[in-house]
Amino acid sequence: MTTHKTVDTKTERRPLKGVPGVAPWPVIAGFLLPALTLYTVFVLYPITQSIRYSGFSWNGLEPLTNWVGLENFRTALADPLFIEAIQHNAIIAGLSLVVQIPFAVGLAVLLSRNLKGRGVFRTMFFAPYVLSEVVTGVVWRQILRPDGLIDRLLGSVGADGLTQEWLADPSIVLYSLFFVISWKYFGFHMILILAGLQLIPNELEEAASIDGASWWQGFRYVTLPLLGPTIRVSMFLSIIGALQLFDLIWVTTKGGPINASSTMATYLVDWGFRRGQFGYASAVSVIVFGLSLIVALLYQRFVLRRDLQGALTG
Amino acid sequence: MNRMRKIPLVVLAVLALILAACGGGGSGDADDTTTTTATDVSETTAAPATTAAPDEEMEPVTVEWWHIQNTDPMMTVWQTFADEFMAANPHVTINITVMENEAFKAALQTNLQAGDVPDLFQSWGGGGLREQVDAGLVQDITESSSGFIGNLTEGAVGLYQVDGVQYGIPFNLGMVGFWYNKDLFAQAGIDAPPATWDEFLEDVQALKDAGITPIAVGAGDKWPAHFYYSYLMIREGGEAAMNQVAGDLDFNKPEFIEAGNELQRLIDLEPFQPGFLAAPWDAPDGESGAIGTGQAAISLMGQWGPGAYANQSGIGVPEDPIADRLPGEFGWFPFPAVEGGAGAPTDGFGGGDGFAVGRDAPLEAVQFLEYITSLDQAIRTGETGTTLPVTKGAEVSITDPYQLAVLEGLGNATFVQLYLDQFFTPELGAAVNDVVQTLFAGTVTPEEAAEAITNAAAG
Repeated sequence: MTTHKTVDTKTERRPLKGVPGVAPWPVIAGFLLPALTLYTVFVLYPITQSIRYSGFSWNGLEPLTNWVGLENFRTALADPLFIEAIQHNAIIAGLSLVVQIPFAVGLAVLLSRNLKGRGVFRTMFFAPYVLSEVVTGVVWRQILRPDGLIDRLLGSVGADGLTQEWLADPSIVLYSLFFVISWKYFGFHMILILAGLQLIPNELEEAASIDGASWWQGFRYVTLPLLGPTIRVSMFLSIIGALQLFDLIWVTTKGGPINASSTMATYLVDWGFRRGQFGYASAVSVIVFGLSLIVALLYQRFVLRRDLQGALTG
Repeated sequence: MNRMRKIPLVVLAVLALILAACGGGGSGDADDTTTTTATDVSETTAAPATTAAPDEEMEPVTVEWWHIQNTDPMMTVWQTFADEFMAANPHVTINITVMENEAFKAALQTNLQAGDVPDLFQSWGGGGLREQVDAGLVQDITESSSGFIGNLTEGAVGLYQVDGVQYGIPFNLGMVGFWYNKDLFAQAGIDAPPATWDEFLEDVQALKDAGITPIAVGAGDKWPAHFYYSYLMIREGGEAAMNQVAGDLDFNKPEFIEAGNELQRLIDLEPFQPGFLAAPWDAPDGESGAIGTGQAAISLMGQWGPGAYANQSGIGVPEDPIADRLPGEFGWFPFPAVEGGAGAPTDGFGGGDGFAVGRDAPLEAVQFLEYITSLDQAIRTGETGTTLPVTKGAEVSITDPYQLAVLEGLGNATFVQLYLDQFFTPELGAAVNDVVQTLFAGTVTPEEAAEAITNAAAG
């Protein structure tokens, strides 16, 4: 079936190229120029500069004179605090995949059925996603503060023993923040998966139940595989989100206490803007860029390959 | 097929690029920044003034002024001074940008890097100013300020000099000491403030035994916690050790490790409010909030402390005197003497506020500084009860009992060490603060702390 479709695309494409009246290249260039200029000024140029700065020991103020080569990279990769920050990103990414996405799938399946008031539930679950990360952070900082809403709720049901220093205890803070992140984003993944569910023809599930499959078997062997592409995109967005995690953490804890909730981005902003070590911070940003690129490429190569091929050739 | 396969690769590469770029420049400032241009006042008063001959010749100039007095009364006082100066000098427009402390530091760094230096901006002197001088971003005002700088106290003026050259003008100088809630002390049966560190620790224990949280500290912001470590260093090492470390940056000295040990004794008492490791200085869930609502008894803070506690207390209206808006009667005592330390109990720790003059600032910027530090205006800032003006003779304006206590401490000071996080370069200052937070969290020993700061200094 795929080969058949590929042939189709080719036969449709070939005559297009020869069609008279397709714009000549100066016109194409004219249309491309504005976008290309913006892209160069705001994306390519800063990245090149960042790479250039990363070779200097530079406080952001003096002229660039102190060339140190790869020293900044060596320092960063040898800094236990940076490694810790990378681990925090990884923990958030891992937890998102293991906890947040299955939760979103479950909710989506539940809300795709004929449930009373499901529109209300969908809106309610999606609402946190609409809030900005900064607002979310400010609100949750107040909820999680000592003797805040959570502690009082626990106290009012007699569970005083469960209260914690949610944001102040270095061994808990990262998980508190993961909870807030999940609270904000599960609705988004739920909506994605709901959309995916609607694309699955009812006939398939019917056929399965006629063949005697239980609900679980139908879900496991029909629905879930067909949801695959959506879930894989959802996972990809989760990973990207976890890698670039910044705003919410900066507002609630600034990566503290004692770096227990730092991420690569808070580490780099801390070194750049608080310590004024812009050369070093640039090197860190290059490493972050490299890591993101590798993760994105690997994911694309090994996980999304089938989906993307289908999308492009089908 | 092959060529098509490359498309998503490129898309993903771009995605990753954008994502990395966002990480690099991301500075989502949550803090409020307001820019006000009070041209209306200068316009209405321009008519009579322009009749004066010299003003007609004057080229219009604009002075960009960044300050961090983002709460009243000082925010209004600065605005009033600017309006008055513009009314008297119609060719001058003063653009005020008011920012919260932390937001200001981030924004200034960005502007300095872009070479877009404000004409007047908040400065604490010290290592930060030195870096700005080395980069040629601030102006030598030794000449232009010579006419009025003699009216200001030498100690304060010296903070804004680098190698004998003047780069800024101070308007406020204070020192850090203990603010305490006398009512809570009385409840714990303590009748006098402690004179020695051992007595202080006993009082802390007494407060704890009485069921009162002894100390509030904003260790999440780090610098409020660094006051404890720094003061103990000063008490243990004295002026000589502080001057020496300014040069050799070696904290691996017995007196500094001893300072860490003394701090450890305090931390071991678990005297701080719940969640202190994440608490900021000035917020409802911060140090000022805990003191302002009477939830904790002691706060080690500068002269701006009572104003901040009052703002968090929810008592009265901002126009009321600070003393009426605090949860109980408050007092101030200097950091107690430490037995066996080389430092005198009168050695102080503090700093001030001032304005550095940007490299492209017009002469009018310095004239404006002359105006705001002139005796009449300094008295008006002192009368707010939130500022200790450095203009000689302006002491008479201090009527607020809290500010008087700080002023007295400052008057008795045999030596004043500038805040360590301002004294050193921003990088080393940040390292000091970070290490102090780990001490408070109990994850390092005093020896490791001294070692870590020394290593950070070595780069």
